[in-house]
Amino acid sequence: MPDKLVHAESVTKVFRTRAGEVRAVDDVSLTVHRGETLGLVGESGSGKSTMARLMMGLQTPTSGRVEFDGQDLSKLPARELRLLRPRMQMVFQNPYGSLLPHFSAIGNVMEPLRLHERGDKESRRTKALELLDLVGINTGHAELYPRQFSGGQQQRIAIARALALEPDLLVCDEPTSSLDVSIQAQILELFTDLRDRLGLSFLFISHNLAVVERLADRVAVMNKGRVVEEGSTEDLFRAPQDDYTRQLLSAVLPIRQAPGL
Amino acid sequence: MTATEGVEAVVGTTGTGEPEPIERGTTARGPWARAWSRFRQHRLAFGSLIFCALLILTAIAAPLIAPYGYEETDIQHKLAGPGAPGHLLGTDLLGRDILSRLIYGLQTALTVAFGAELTALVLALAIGLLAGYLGGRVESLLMAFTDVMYAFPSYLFAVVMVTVLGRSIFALVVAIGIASWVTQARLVRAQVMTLKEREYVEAARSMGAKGSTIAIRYILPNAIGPILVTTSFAIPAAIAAEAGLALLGLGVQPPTPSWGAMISEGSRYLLAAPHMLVAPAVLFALTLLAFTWIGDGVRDAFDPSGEQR
Repeated sequence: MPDKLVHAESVTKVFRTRAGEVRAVDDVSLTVHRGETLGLVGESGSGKSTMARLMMGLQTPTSGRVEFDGQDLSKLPARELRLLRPRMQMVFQNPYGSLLPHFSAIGNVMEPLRLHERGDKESRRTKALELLDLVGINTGHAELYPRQFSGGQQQRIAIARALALEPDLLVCDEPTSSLDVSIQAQILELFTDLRDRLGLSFLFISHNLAVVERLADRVAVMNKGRVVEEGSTEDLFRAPQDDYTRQLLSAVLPIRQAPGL
Repeated sequence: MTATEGVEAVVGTTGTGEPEPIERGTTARGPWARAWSRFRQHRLAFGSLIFCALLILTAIAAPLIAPYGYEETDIQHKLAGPGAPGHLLGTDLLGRDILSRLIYGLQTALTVAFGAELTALVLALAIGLLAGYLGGRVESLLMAFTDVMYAFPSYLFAVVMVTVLGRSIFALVVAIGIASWVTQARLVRAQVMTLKEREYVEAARSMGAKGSTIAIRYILPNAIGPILVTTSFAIPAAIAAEAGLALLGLGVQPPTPSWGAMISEGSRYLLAAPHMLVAPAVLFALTLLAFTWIGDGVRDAFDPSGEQR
C-alpha cells in the first residue's frame, strides 16, 4: 500500500450562520495516497468543497485533524503552513475568478514562484513559458490578460500556475464544471496527461460521475456532509453499495437506471 | 472560437496546441490600458486633461511665465483696465498685475488641492485597507473613529485647524485633506470587503501569499479605480474649499495671492473695476469645470458597465 500524502481524520466543520449552525462536513475521514487520484463526488451542498478546503488547510476543522505528509495542518504556525503550500496546490471552479485580473497570463504563472522566491525574474519567466506550453497555451499569447482568453484557456493558465511550484498534491475543485462540455473533455485529457507525466497525486472533486470515473483510482461519495461510500472506481461503478450512490449513478447514467427511479 | 475547440475535442487531441483562437485581439490589454483607452474616448475629459496639464505647468513655471511678481506694484497704473500697456488683464487697487496674481494664485490653489487630496488618499488607503482586510476589532475601532470624523462639520474643523496652525498653505492642506479623507476611507473599505471575497484571494492564499501581499499587491490595484474616481472629483472640491476659506478670511496669508481672496476683493469694487472680479472668477470656474470633466472621464474609464471593449 502506498503511503499517505494527505489524510483527514474524522474531521467536522460547522459553520455558524444567522440561520443557525450548519454541519458542512460531519466526521469524515479521507486519505489521498502518494501517486493516486481520489475522486470526491456528491451533489451541490454535500460538503465536497469544504472538504477540499479543509484538506488544503485553507479552513480549520471544528474537530478532527488533517495531516499533510504527517504534519498536522491546524497545529502549524501560519509561516510554516505557507512554506508547506508549494507542495499542495489548488485549481478552482471558476478560472476567471481565480486568476489575478491585473496580471498577464505569464504574470499569473510566475506569481507563485515569486512568492516563494524561486529563482530570479529571468528563470521564472522561462519556467512560466514552459508551463504555459505544457498546458497548451500558445506562448506567443503569454502577455495577454486573463479576460482575453476563453474559459478553457483560462483554466489551462490556472493549471499552469498550480503546477509552477511542482506540488505533490493537486486539489481540483470542480475544475471543469464552468466550462462547455467539449472543453471539459480537453481539460480532463490534460489532467490525465499531467498525472501520467508528472506523477501527481490528485484530489478531484466533481458532481459529475462520468468525469470522476475517467480520472480517479478511488472514489468517495459524499452526501449531507458525510462519506457514504468509498472504494475503487471500478467496484463503485460496477456495484454501488449505498442507496445514495445508486441514485447518483442512475441520475447521470441512464443505462444503469434502476426500475422505479 | 468554441466551434474550433469543439472540433478538436471531438477529434480527441490531448489538448496541447489548441489555443489559437483568442477572443479579443492579440495585443495585451491590461485593466490600465483599457481604462486609458476609454478615458481618451471621452473628448471633453481628454481636452480637460490637456487644459489642466497646461495649468499645472503654468503653476510650476510661474516665476518664468508671470510678467510681474505677485507683490510688485505699479503705482502709476492703479486699477488699470484690461489691455492697459504692460498689463494684459489690468491691475488691482495697489497697482499689482492681475495676470501675474492669477498665475501665482493658481500655484496656491493647485498646491493646496493636490496636497490635500494626496494626504486624504494616503490616509484613506491606509485606514480603509486595514479595516477592510483585517476586519474584526481593528475594523470596528477604525470605523468608529471614521464615523466620529464624519459627523464633525468639515468647515468648522478647517476653521479650527487654520486658527491653530496659522494661515499657511500647510494648514490648508491639513484642514482640507482631513476633511475629505473620511468618505474616501469608507469607499476603500467597502471596495476591499467586496474584493476580499473574490476567488483569486483564496487562490492567493492557497499559493502561500501573506496577508499583506494579498491586500497590497492583489486587492489594492483592483480597488483603485473607484478610489481614483472620487479623488478626481475631490480635487475641484478642494480648489473650491480653498477659495471658500479665503472668502471667509481663512485662506493663505496676504500678500500670497489666492483666487478666493481675489474674488472677494473684486466683488467689493464690482462697479468701479469689474475686471478685478471677472478675471479670477472666470478662471476659477473654468478650472473647476475642467477638473470635474476629468473626473467624469475617469468615472467612465473605470465604469464596470462600460466593459464592452
